[in-house]
Amino acid sequence: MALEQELATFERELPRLLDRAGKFVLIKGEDVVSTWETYRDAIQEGYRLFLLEPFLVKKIQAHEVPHLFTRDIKPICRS
Amino acid sequence: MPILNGPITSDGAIIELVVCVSEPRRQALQNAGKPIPAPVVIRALIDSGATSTNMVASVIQPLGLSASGTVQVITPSTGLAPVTVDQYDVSILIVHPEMGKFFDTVPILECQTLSSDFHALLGRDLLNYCSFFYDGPGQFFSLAF
Repeated sequence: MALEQELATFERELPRLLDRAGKFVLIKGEDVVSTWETYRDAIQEGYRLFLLEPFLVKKIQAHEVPHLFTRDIKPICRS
Repeated sequence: MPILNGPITSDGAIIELVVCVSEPRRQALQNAGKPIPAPVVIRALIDSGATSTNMVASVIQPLGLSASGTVQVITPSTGLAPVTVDQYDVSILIVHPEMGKFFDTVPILECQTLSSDFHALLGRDLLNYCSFFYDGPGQFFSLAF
């Protein structure tokens, strides 16, 4: 499944990233590449460095806040 | 400030969006010498009960997107235990006859089905950039941006 390695890296590195909570981290494989103030900046850097290869951009939060939908949208789940 | 006015339908307030790859992805495709997917025009329900914007997977499949993130989601069918879903970066234009509102890099979620009359929910992530007025007795809405 796409981004499995990047997600594992995020979970592993999250304690060390929490001093930058609220920012967006760019991860490729096992590497934390950089952190950015905005989602757009992180995405732009991801495409700049990795072109069309997979990369992960994720908001740094101690506890991820779920997105809520009152409508039953039947999301496409990873698992 | 452009203002979109429309009737309240049986589904609610529906607007039209043009969805394409995000601007950074467009530049990466261009740099790689690959074709830029044609934009997709879709109808979206304005949904203040949605944290973020999502779209039916089959409708945006022609954009050839790759996941660039994940988020946890709670819906009536998931119950209280959130599920993890992929996020994709796209660009979105809120269509207006004279001056649309363009968001060049927006994270969206995919969903399986919504309705035969609309294929996206415009969530509060983008509504936060707009003023939305819902006139119940008059049965119309206004979206200013």
